[in-house]
Amino acid sequence: MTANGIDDEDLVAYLDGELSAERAAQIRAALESDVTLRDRLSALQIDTAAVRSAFDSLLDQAPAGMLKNTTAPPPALIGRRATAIAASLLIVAALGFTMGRFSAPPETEDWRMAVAEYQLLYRSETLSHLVREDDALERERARVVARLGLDIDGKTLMNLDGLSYRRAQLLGFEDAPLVQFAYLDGNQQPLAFCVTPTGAADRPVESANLKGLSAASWIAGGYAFLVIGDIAPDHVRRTAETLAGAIGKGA
Amino acid sequence: MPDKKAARARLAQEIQGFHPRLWRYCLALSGERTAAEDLCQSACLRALEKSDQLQPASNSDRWVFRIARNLWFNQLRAEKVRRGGGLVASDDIALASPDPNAETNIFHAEVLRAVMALPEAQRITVFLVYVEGFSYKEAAEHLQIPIGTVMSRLAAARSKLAAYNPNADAATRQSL
Repeated sequence: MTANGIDDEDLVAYLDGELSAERAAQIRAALESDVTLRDRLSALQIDTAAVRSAFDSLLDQAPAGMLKNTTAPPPALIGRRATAIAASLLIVAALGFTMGRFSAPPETEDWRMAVAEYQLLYRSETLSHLVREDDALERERARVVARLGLDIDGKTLMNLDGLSYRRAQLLGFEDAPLVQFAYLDGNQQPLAFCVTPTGAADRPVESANLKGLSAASWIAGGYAFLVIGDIAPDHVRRTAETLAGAIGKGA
Repeated sequence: MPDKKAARARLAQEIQGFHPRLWRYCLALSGERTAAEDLCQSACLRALEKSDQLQPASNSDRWVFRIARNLWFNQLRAEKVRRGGGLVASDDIALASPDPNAETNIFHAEVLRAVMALPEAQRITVFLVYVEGFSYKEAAEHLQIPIGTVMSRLAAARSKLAAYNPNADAATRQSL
């Protein structure tokens, strides 16, 4: 405490706008008449915006965390921030799986409804800004299918008729991994191709309407597949048949 | 228990959004990268374990930050000291930037070095208030200290950092 009853803590709180209006007015008045106080205030002034922006520059360097032990190749073509965000998405998804007990594979109906509800939230803007280099897409695909345990060939995924491939994401249903490949069709309508492990027996491609979305699903070799989107049912079905054929051949 | 699962899935999704900020806080807490990564990872796991305890209306980022703080002070910090890592802020925070010639990068690195060189208590308080935008009251609650202590830590930190005073002359700034 100093002669005028204003200590450094008061001055700092004054600078930070943390004082009551009354106390701030007292200090403002004192500063007008007291040169020493003005010097003391000046000795406490820092560029807080610079501190904030310096720390903001660190956000780009956030590590991949859990992924640091995996064999993922180093990112080269996508920006560091994008990599960091994508990586942390995967970590968190992976955390969810590793922590949960791996229970019975999801019931077919249930997981398809969950995907349908999720897909209803998609807009073209969800995906339209995602334009990336082939290498980055390929690395992302490789990482995601590795978690799934089923290698789905990039050439198949990225060359579907009338669909522009945008992204692969690792999601989860119950305690099982659920992989989603996202597309936009020629009218910028979102469409998803999803895969999750199942204990159910093989079933051929069948069309359905789930929550108002066109869907086609099938089961093969311990995996359940679903193509879904708010686009023409026959386009969804054709896509499903192409994928089922390619994956069946070990693509 | 679908409710518990749903809570965990929701939290996992929210953590995705603030994971870089959480890691950055862990860096401010621990003062170096290796410890920060361990801490960040432990905090995520602990948070997901306890996700059913998160009140629906509360901010999950602040909640996970508190978990990280508790983990650091109750557990990991002591381990780091035992391992002989000490608590000295290390220079590795200011990593090589993509363009080392860019003036802003050099300036950022200088500011970071100065903040990270502050004593631990001051560094963490400066981080919460000036980087994360906590009010004094929020910082006091988060750190479980009186508001007066928040103020005195900030005052002490500010006098050390005052070389970044926008009014400071170039010579003062360079002498840092």
